[in-house]
Amino acid sequence: SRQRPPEGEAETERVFKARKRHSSTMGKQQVGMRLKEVVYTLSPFEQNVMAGLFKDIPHKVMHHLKQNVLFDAIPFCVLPIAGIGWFCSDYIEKEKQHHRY
Amino acid sequence: MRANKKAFLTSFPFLSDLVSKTSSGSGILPRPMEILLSQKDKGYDLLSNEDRIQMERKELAKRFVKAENLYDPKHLEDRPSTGSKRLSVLNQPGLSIVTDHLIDYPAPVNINYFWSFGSLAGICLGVQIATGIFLAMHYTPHIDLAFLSVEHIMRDVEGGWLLRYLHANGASMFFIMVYIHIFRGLYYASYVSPREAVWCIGVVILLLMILTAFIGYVLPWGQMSFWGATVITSLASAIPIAGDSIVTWLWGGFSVDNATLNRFFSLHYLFPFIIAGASIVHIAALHQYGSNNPLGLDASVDKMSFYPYCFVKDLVAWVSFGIFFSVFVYFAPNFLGHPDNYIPANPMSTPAHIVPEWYFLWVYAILRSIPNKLGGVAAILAVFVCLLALPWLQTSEVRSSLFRPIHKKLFWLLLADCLILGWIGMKPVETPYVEVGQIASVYFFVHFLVFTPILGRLEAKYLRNLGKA
Repeated sequence: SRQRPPEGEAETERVFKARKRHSSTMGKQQVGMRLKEVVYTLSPFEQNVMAGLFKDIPHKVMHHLKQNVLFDAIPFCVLPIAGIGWFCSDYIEKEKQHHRY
Repeated sequence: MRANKKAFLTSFPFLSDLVSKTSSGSGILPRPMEILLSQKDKGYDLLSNEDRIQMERKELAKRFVKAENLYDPKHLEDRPSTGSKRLSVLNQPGLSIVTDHLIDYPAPVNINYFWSFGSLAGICLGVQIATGIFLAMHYTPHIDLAFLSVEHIMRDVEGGWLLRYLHANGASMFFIMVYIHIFRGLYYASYVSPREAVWCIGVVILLLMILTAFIGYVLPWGQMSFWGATVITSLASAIPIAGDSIVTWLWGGFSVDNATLNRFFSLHYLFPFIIAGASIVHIAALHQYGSNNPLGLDASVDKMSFYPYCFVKDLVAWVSFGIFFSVFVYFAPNFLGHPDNYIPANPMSTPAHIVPEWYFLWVYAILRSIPNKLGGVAAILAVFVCLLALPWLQTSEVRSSLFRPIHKKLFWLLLADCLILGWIGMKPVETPYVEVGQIASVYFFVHFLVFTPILGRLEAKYLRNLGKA
């Protein structure tokens, strides 16, 4: 029959699991540098799925727009494309007018 | 109370089996969730919900306290590759690769949906290989029969229309996913050390994809197929001395003809498997040091197992991709194609405008922007050399564009430049398209060869001054 997990330091040592990076060895022994990380497994009792996703949406959207769109994407991507498109179509139109009569 | 009840029940031998079989926990969690979490292996199945929550809170608190001792080897333990004994088959030597790279692979916790485009590209490769194998069962690689065999597939073969449209639009989807994947790498500087190999293998995969797609487009033997093949293969004649011999060798004759079609069919069947092998090497190179993350910082201190978290995230991306793909396949299957390719190839009639498929237009624009043939070929080669050299051109100590305001703006300029090049590629060779194409081509090289090296130092100076102000 199963027993309760041990308390105290022994329990901490048992439950604290940091994984050696198997992928970095790829079957061979890694020499020198050893990379360490902590891997968590979250309990479903401790989480709501997508918690806080729809909270304060207008602020989140505005923040994202200001960070990426307003001062970066629009002036450095959208405007150059639109400007060059306008310039070329305007040039072609003027050439057509020039050759018309 | 419940724990006591269970302890009482399990003291009877025959009942203990019943209890363990009916629920491996307290019966609160649905069974699939319990299997996922391996509560039985942790020995938590005897606890009540409240006890379990308390236990896990303590664990998390202790882990947080222990974080300062992270580099103390005493706290590192080897653990079995997967916690659950039910998956022990995956710990066998041959299958442990699945465990290490698809289940237990430690992924950064803060990766966003731009990290799903790699797996999406893999899905597209799978779709192309699967549909391609079935198409090849009905296709005939002969100049008199190829076009008709494609029509036979479309009209007579059961589901042939779907196979054809999946394959044709699948190629476009493959390139969309790969281009977004590449631009993600550019934005977050995923190509920087120690992931140079990942980037370089990726560029090789892009080259293989371009070759495969070009060869595949010839197979329907429409007007664009024939004349596109003629234009692009003729570029090899620009090579000094041996150019003409190389072109004759490529064609298998003195023009694009039956021999060319046959060998293109054979190569088009072969290359996707080379791409698949290269993709495996690409993933292996990535897993050597782990994935990048949007912050560009070392993510070792906070990672999660690939399964189930990244798997579920990718599943959302795959379903969304499926919807996007289906819109093209079922509602606009010829939107991304050229209507001239529904005319059988005629060597005696040249189309007014020979244009490749949309995913080649940016390269085509760079090629055409240089009046000299050899210069154009050299420019295309230079594009891939710039891409390959990018990890060593980068001088910034900061990785992600989130913390590099100038690089962020130049990234958007590069994106605009590539879109403009793509647009110019489909336009006729006349003013003002020629001049705009030339400026855009020059900017492409200036971005990689001038801005990228200089920017590292410039941004460091700018941010230091910003800090002082």
